[in-house]
Amino acid sequence: MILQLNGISKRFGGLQAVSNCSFTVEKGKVVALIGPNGAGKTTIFNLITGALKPDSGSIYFKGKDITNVQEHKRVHLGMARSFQDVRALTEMTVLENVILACPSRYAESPLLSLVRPNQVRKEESHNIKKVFEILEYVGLSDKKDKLAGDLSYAEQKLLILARLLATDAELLLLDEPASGLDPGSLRKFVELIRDLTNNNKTILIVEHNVSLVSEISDKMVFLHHGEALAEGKPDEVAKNEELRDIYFGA
Amino acid sequence: MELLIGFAILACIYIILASSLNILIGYTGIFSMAQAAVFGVGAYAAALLETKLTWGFIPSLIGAIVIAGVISAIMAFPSLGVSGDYFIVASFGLQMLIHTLFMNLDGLTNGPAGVQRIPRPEFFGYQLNSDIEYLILTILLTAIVLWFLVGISKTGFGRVLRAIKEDETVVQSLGKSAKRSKITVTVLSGCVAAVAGSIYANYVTYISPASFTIHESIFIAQLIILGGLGSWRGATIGTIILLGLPEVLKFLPISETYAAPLRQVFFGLLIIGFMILRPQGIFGTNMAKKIKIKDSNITAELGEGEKA
Amino acid sequence: MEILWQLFIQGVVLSMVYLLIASGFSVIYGTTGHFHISHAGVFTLAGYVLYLLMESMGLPIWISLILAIVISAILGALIYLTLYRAVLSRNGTHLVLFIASLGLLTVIDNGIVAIFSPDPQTFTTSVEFNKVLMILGAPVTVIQLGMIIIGIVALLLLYVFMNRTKAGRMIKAASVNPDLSQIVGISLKKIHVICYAIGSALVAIPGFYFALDTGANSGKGVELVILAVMAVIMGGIRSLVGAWIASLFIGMFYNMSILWIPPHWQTSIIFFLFLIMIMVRPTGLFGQRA
Ligand SMILES: Nc1ncnc2c1ncn2[C@@H]1O[C@H](COP(=O)(O)OP(=O)(O)OP(=O)(O)O)[C@@H](O)[C@H]1O
Ligand SMILES: [Mg+2]
Repeated sequence: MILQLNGISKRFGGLQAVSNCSFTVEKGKVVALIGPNGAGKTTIFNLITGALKPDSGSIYFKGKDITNVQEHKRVHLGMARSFQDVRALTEMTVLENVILACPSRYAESPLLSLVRPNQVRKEESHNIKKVFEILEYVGLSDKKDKLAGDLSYAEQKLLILARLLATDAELLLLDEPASGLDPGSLRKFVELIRDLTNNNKTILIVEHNVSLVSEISDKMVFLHHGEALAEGKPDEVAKNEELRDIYFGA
Repeated sequence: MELLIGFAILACIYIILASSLNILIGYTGIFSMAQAAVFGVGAYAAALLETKLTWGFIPSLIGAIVIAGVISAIMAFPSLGVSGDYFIVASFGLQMLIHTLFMNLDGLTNGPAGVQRIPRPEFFGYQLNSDIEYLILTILLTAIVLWFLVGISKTGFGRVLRAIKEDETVVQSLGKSAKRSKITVTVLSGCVAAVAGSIYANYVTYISPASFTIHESIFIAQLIILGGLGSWRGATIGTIILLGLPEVLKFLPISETYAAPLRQVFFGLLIIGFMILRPQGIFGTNMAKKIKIKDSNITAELGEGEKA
Repeated sequence: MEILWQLFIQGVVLSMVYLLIASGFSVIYGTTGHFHISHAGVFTLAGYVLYLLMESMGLPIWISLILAIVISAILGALIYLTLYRAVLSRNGTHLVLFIASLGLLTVIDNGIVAIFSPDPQTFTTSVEFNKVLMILGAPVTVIQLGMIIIGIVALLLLYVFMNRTKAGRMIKAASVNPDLSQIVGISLKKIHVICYAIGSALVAIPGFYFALDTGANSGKGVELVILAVMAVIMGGIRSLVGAWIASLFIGMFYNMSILWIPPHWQTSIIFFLFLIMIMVRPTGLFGQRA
């Protein structure tokens, strides 16, 4: 078990976005978080990553209580998230986008980069090598000097995946990574996800395409009005008539 | 010739100031309208260290840099939680607050009368009395500052700053503390502005709050916006062009009482023209896109109270 | 006791200045989202327009005031129609508009100095308006009293207009949801023109007061407008009443606190309070939370 949510709640004014939500994510598995629009999926991501603070409940990551850990420090502990609205840094090159995600001790400190220029060079060249490998892996090598804003939508989504990999995080939180992809890119994407779990990554994925998530996930959590209504094997959850009705708004 | 030397010294001072704002507005997107206040803190600190404590030029310069850095760090706090227009207002507020402090801390700043008889720098018993000698010192310091800033902007730190400008939330999600980087860059910018302050104080040998007003802040911001946000050529060549152009008015048969405001009018018209036709300034590239306040940022701002 | 009363009356005068500037800014900003810093330029221009009408053309004060208000409103609308629309139509952002607005302010403030010299232009015909009246022992000039009365009337009209008329409700709807308004067929351009006209008419009133009181002068507007904008933010953007309460507080604080705090520290304290407030409650005292 790498991640555990214990009775998490979050309120926005009069709206209970997440209410007493608990579930776990096992190491090396793909867990899918599904539910209708506005169910609170993205909010749960924000709570897990620390972008938002829960009103009550606690979050454990790798056995450690991280409920009060700052957002950027949670990344250092080994989790990273993508955004529903992609958010590539469009004014920066593909290479810069990914290098930015690499952990850095020297290059990003103005003081250290002045007094330890050699360390900075070593770190940067190490990172660049790593970034090249990652770009090769996701298939963006030939685009590395392009501005991210000039990439196609599908390429931007791959870039975001590359960015997450560069953080060295073990737990990847993917918010609708496959939405808007053409069938070709979708195949490639599924293969990547499979390959990642074989490479020791754990994935928590939000996805509206139920057949797609049934195919790739080991477990499914169904969310409705901020509550985890069901948790279990993908085909069980996906076939549950009651949940189907909620999901398709019957 | 004398006129030219004076112009060159002033141009260097403004190049430093424009550069200090370039790293702040141009790189990080922190739209500060309080740079004249920080400039003033540097000038006052240097002047007081030299006149009251009779420190030499270099120790006072370093002292001024440290003091301005500390004050910038304090100034950074209230404005960090807000963005967009609120930040602009907050920085205007800081500018005016510090200006009132220059006016009112009589014991320290001598109020509206200001600090007088600031000595010209002296090195090993040799005093730089002529303007040309002072110009050489000024150019030297300006070169050091530019080398430092341009260098910083090309490091990984500069990359983080540009990322913050585009999307702070993303930077945060990649394990970098956007807050810390913003404080750091504000301090850096303040330290650099303090160098300009020290050069200015020792050049005019008399400073008063009148030189560090909100209008001066607006002027410095306009310099770098016209030069081109994010462009070092804009901060340097752009500044020289912009300061030089209105000087042409000097050769027209207009008395100085009219020439001074007319220069400003000319400058304001330039701003307006550029904002309509070329918002990225003289040397900037595609800034219209870059300085867009994104919807996503606004959402983030609204959710601010909720943030961990 | 008497000094308290005198300070209170002076507080009311200053509050009215901020109330009017802040209301004007709030009407414009709340609806258009434009950081119209040239509001300060309109403030200055209003004083000079009045000066020209009364001193150069010799018109009586009442006619001059009415004409000057109308001219100020037209000036504000023109700034929007010419400059701002030119900036926005070329894909300029709100930040670009703010910078252009700053440029315009520079042009107005310095253009006036170039034409009229940096010295205040005092009104020769206004001696009788500087006459001091006593209200329960507190001295008030005719000009101050006039501004308060005109100001109260203007603010009441504004309140009624915004809440009781169809046009006002349209403006409110447009400020909350501009996209929807456009779908419903309300012309945003028209609404924005109205807002600029109203806002500029409001800011003209304290502009007249300053001009009549100490002479028309340039460059005084920015700091007043920034303080008024702080009042708008403190009160909560889009909350007219919030802006009023914050303006009252600032005006009263300036005068009443003289009893306890040396007079030149007021401005520093106001700025300090504002910065603290923006840290703890960025949405303002009366703004809705997200
Ligand atoms: N910062 C916020 N402030 C106020 N309300 C919010 C905020 N973030 C989310 N909400 C509300 O909380 C509810 C849950 O939103 P959330 O984005 O988590 O849904 P979701 O499950 O991700 O939906 P979708 O499938 O559309 O992405 C929605 O009603 C949304 O409007
Ligand atoms: Mg979502």
